Amino acid sequence: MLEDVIDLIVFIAFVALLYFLIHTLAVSPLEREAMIIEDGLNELRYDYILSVYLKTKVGNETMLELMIKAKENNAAWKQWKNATKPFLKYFKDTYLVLDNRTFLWKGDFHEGFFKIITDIFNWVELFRERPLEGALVTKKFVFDGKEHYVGLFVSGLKIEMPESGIPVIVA
Amino acid sequence: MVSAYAIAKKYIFWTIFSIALLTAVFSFVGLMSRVKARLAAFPDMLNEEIIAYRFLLGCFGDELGVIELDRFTNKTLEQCYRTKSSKDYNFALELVNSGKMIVGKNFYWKEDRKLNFPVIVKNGSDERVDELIIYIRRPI
Repeated sequence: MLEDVIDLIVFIAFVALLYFLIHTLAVSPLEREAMIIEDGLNELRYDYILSVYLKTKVGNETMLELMIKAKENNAAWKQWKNATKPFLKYFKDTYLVLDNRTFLWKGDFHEGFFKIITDIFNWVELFRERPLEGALVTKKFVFDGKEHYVGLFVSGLKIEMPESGIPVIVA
Repeated sequence: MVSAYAIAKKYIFWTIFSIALLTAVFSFVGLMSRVKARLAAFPDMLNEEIIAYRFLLGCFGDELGVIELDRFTNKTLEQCYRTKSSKDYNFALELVNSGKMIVGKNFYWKEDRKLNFPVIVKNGSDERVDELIIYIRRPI
């Protein structure tokens, strides 16, 4: 009798193990697939938002032209800030970078004392071969014969995105 | 001769074994059908968002993210995305700053989800940034 009980317990344990194995092999990839879909939709969404944002006109200039000016000009920075305010809600928790200058840090304007600290990190970033590596959306523009790169980083993605490779030429 | 005790023991074993086996079979069938259902069906989120993007890609304007105000009508919405009944994904669109809303023919009751996107609204030569809210009603 004891032998039969042991056989039964072993059988039930085997079935449970098999079930667990099939569940892990079949369901886990689906869950990962769902995460990839979610991140893919995020990429699509932010790509759209960034495209519309950069081509928005501020006076006679596009937002991109204004950003290029705002890198070195305080008046242009203020103008860019005012023009960007309506867009801030779409850039929540994101980092917006043009070339090696951070414009938005966690969805807020990157300026003041906080900028000095993060500039040190940016300075270190300059030595990296690909400063925009890891960006969710990367765009390359040629303006006045110079190449400019805009990168949008998003925090809180569920899985690490693959490297985008060669940035898309938009203009 | 086999004793009555041995026969009873055998019956008890096979009864429990059969129950365990049946439970295992049903569990596997259940698991497989769940996996199959999840593999076959696209998540709602993906379906509705992919459809929603058509409203931003040249439905009401000729450029990405550009809406011409005179084309932002129920008629254009129907031409752009035709639905047969409330069993399809249905949409209503609102331009917040322009104060204009269009509603799909089979969009009833309240939305299941809404998406907010920036758009550039063109009204003649005037061009300004607006917010487009896409209200989504999932199939009922």
